[in-house]
Amino acid sequence: MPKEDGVILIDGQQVGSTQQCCHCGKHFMMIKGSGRLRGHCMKCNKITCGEIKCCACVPYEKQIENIERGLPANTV
Amino acid sequence: MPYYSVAEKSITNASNATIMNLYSAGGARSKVNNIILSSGATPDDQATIFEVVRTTVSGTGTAIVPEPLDPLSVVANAQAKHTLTVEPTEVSASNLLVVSLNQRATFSWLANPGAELKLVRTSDYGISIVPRTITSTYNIDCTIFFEE
Repeated sequence: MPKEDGVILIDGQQVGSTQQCCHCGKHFMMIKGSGRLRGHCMKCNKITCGEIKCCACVPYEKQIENIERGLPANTV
Repeated sequence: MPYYSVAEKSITNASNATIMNLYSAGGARSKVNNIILSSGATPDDQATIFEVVRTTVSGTGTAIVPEPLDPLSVVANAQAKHTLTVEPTEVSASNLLVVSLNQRATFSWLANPGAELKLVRTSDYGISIVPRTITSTYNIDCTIFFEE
């Protein structure tokens, strides 16, 4: 399990941790047996959320800058 | 890197009605590192799926001025609204965080340093906390902490 990027507290007790997709920035919980397929970017060497749009390597910071420049987020 | 808080209590929690919208005024880039959701209503078992999504146009609603955690900090660039009468324009498939909650639970999400939810610096772009499905309407309290 990679290092956590966020934690979830319910009533003050930590009940889970989240990972952040290195491409879209989404936070998600890794649950064994959930059947959700996640990915791993070999360039960023970090986990991805597994969405098709995040298969190509466009790092999170680059996507934010693309939007600020008026370009589609996934512009390489 | 000053920190700020936007908070509001007793916001009506209804399906697809944005609870809070935090958006950029076109200056510094804001980074959300803590979201707290709770309800002060009479305890009841109501289920809600909340989504944090990106928006490109802030809606129409009651403005909240971000409060700096350090009183000496400069005024925040980001602005916020709650109780929206016109919904912000959402970016499709832009979920940044999804959580299902019981009304009785006090929920808190904290990002580790470097893993915050970054707002796009473009003016009016931001993020919204939206309840997608809900079993019954109830009042909710929402707090967002961010840094710039």
